[in-house]
Amino acid sequence: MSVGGVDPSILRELSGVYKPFIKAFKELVSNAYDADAADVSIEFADNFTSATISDDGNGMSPFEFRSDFTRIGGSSRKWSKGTTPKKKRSRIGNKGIGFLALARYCDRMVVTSSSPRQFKQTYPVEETSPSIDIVSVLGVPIDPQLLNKVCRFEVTRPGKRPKVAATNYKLNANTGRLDFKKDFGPVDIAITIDCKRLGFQATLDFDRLLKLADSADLEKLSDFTLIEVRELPRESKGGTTVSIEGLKSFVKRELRADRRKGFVRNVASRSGFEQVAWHLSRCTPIGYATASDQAGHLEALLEDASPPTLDKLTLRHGETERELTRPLYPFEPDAATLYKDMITEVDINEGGLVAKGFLLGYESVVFPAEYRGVSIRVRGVAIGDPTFLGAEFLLTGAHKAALSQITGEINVMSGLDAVDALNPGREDFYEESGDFLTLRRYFRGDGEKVGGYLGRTIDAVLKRSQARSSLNTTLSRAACIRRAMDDVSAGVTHLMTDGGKQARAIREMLKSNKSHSNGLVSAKPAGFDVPNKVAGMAVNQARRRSEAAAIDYEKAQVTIDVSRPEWDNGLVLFKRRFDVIHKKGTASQPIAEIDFKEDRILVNWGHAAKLQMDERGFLRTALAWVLARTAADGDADQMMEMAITLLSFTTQPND
Amino acid sequence: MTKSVTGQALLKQVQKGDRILLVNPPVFETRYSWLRWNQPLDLLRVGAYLKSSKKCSVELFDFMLPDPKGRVQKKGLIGQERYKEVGDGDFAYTYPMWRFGKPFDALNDWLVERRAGNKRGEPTQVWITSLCSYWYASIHQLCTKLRLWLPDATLAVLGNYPRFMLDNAVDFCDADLIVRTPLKYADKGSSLKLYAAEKPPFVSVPLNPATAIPAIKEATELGVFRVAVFDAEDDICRDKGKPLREIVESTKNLHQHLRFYGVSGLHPERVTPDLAKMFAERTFAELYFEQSEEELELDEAAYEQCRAYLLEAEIDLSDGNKTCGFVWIGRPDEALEGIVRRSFTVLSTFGSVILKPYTAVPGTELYEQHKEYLDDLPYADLSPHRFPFAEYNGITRNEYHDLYRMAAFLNEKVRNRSFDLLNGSMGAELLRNSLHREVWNLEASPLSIID
Repeated sequence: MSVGGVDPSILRELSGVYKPFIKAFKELVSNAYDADAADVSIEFADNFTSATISDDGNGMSPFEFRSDFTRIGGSSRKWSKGTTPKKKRSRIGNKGIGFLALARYCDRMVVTSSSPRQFKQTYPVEETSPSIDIVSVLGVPIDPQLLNKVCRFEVTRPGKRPKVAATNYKLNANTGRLDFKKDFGPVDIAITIDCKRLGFQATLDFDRLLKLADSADLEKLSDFTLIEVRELPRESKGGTTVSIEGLKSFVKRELRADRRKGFVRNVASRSGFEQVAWHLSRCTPIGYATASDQAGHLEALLEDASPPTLDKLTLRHGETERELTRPLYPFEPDAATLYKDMITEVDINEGGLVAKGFLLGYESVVFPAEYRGVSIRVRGVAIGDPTFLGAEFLLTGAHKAALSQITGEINVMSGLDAVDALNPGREDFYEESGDFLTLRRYFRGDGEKVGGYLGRTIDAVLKRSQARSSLNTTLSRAACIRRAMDDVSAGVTHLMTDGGKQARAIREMLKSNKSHSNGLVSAKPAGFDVPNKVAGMAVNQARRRSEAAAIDYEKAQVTIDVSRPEWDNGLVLFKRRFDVIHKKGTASQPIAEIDFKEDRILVNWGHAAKLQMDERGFLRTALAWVLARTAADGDADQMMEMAITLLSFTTQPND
Repeated sequence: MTKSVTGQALLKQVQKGDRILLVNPPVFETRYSWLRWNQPLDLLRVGAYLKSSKKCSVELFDFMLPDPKGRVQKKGLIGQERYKEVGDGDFAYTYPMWRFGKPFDALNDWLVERRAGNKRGEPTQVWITSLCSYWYASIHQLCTKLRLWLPDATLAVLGNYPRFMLDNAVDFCDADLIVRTPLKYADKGSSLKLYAAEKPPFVSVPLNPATAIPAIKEATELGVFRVAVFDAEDDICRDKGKPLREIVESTKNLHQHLRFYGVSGLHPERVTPDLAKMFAERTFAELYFEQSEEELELDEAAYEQCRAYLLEAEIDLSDGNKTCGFVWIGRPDEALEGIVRRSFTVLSTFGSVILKPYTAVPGTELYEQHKEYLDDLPYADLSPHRFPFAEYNGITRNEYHDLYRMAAFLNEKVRNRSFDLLNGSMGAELLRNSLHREVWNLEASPLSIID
């Protein structure tokens, strides 16, 4: 059987557009979908030398196989538009080179199928005398006896008496030729074949086909497919089985690969078979996995955005059998929490393009990495890997980083047909396609600034991250201040424990009731209290919470647990408690003042020393200085010694 | 205002409905490797009493509780506290200082977590115990921190620190109550349930079948299978071993993994043939034989007899896997050669030896005899790990540390059967060594001095 008139080297190039293996393999599932299959089953041989895919779809007659399956471009128009006959699915469609998809990955492909559909075709013939070889006309090697059983003819002529009486011709059951009693000149022969009891098995010898490419031997090209038509014992119910045999060694190596050792998160590190399962479940037209509780609000969106799918796709290898469903990141067991404000609903209906779906932003990076990006599916089949449609080249900095926190699904229900908008292999879109331009405009906006659905999702991600970062800064600043006070407090306790002159000096100082404050009281507050706003959101003060702080993005409100020590201004100095008051004095005012009368210590954050230190260091210095100075009461040596001890002591090792 | 009170007064001021938090504080010390036998028994017992008799809510925070892998945290102190220099001249020694136990912030974190959604309210009282009188630095710090974290709670410090160093405790602890006498109350046993979700590595029970048996039952139900028996009179074989036997016989079949450990109060001269037979059972995992506190020299005849009984009961004494003997070091009036001689005797009797630094406990005869000398030392230097009697004995601290090394060396010689070259490969020996107890850092069991 021939693929007719195409240079084998071109065939080899065409087969190369399907890569890697799994992307080529998915074409067989797409074919089953277009054939109205409900259940599809894939089985890999134990040693991964072959794979078989069986479906319960409409099947093919040998003549359809000849005319549609193995003809370059033969099926593209016919099968790319409209809906399937039984289930009324929008066709996935193809470019008419689907049979070549696996040519680079295996030695041969064996197709076994049957279809109860009648085959009808009209062939124009120049002359009828004395007979016509019908087997040659059909292009399918069928036993003449069998052909005689299932075939009917109608011969017509142009003109007033178009129909040629059936008594004038007869099929010779021995030769397969249609014998005419006389020459009727140019006629049209309409052949109708009842295929109910016809089945076939065809072997596409890819190994031979691609070797021919080297010798460019066009004469031999017709030999690469063997087809055997046979009579079925009972009427066909349809269905097709495709076996790919002699898988190439590099394919086997990939399939047999073990899971990468150690802690891994990405799909690319899983075993070869696991990767096949994952990719098949992501790129074929099957139903979504069950939603987890936390992704409950996605259910409605998914229902809206789901085109018809196969009922069942089963994958087997040895003892392993699993029914594939399409995984989504929010349904992964260790997926980050999905918040409502991070969901961007996609709904496009313009100029024949109908698409629905969603983009999801997360507070953390999405793992496995293969989920990052938005899967665009046309009739349920993923076009290439998840993508940002070029937005990644426009973005920089935090906006670009936010992309690693975004995943999503867009299902194109109408538009973006295989022939006009998708490249061979279904890996990308033709940029000139109007539908694609519409999709891209909605997805990321026009021009250099990223907008659209993606822009909105990025904004949501950044808004959260900025709010979190702002809150963390607020909390860590408070913790830092608290830590400085704890260190000074522990330092004083340590000095007391050690006893001696310094302990006596501190004890005396702490007996005082005098005020040493002189001006800092009236200075402005330095702003270390609980803030009124964090990242533009109002702060609500609460007590006894399980978290130090929480952000309610919907209400634009931050709740801070102020019952924690971080927000306590108390400084315990050996049996006496002081309040530390943070003031913004002038550079010339003292670094700190102590007021025993009011039990408070005023710290001057406007002091020039602040410029040389971080906040924790400055507060420790200010407190140590004022305590050592007051306790030493003019003894400079003692003051220095005490201050240094207070500055160096801590009970908080970095553990 | 800090007030000194008696144990009775502390118990008396407790009101029904009080929420009492019991705290076993961390320890700042140079060495503390008897960690696995640290348990705040006094808190567990008084906790059981407060719950049952005073109808209080009682919670426990144990800084010294090992993590799930059985390790007690140990971190070097920082800055000036990292090293402690003791003694002068030949007697000078620089000790690295550690914090044993969880960091202080662990208690704050626990309080914060407890606050969230807890309707019981903050603890009204915090009782901090102290195992040794010289371990007060961490208690001072803890009091200061608790003042901030629980400003309304009554803080009480109890245990050996205020008992033996009352003035120091009153002066330097930022606590409300300093408890100067032991607490006396009706024994309600001790409750491991105070550990709540955490599981301690062992249970200590007194040599009193009435309280020990229920305590062991409770422990096995909680999945705690190591049992250490202690006795207030420091003799777990007293009354011819009758109470010990009753405890063991009544509980040994509770669980196949239940094991007894004689870690304190086990004296060689008190071992009888019958007790030796009981010790030979699989139920007894480890036996540590005490050296008498009264006598400097060993009663060698008693050791010989004890060894004979243990051998007759078919206990393998050759490698010190199950048996071990203590030898005091750091006692007044001792000499280096005496310690070495005693170490050899104990080694040849029990198979392994642990040098036990001597603690001068106020009120004891030895302490009173040397009170004048000891009173001149800083309180913190009374820690046995700093060998307060080094200058008195004329044995330098370096020499004491050489003795530790010698003990480790002797134990290894016995364990790896250096003179039995045909027994096992080098790999087997190395493995065995690695599995053995670490003897370098062992010290006396704290169980013997708990009030």
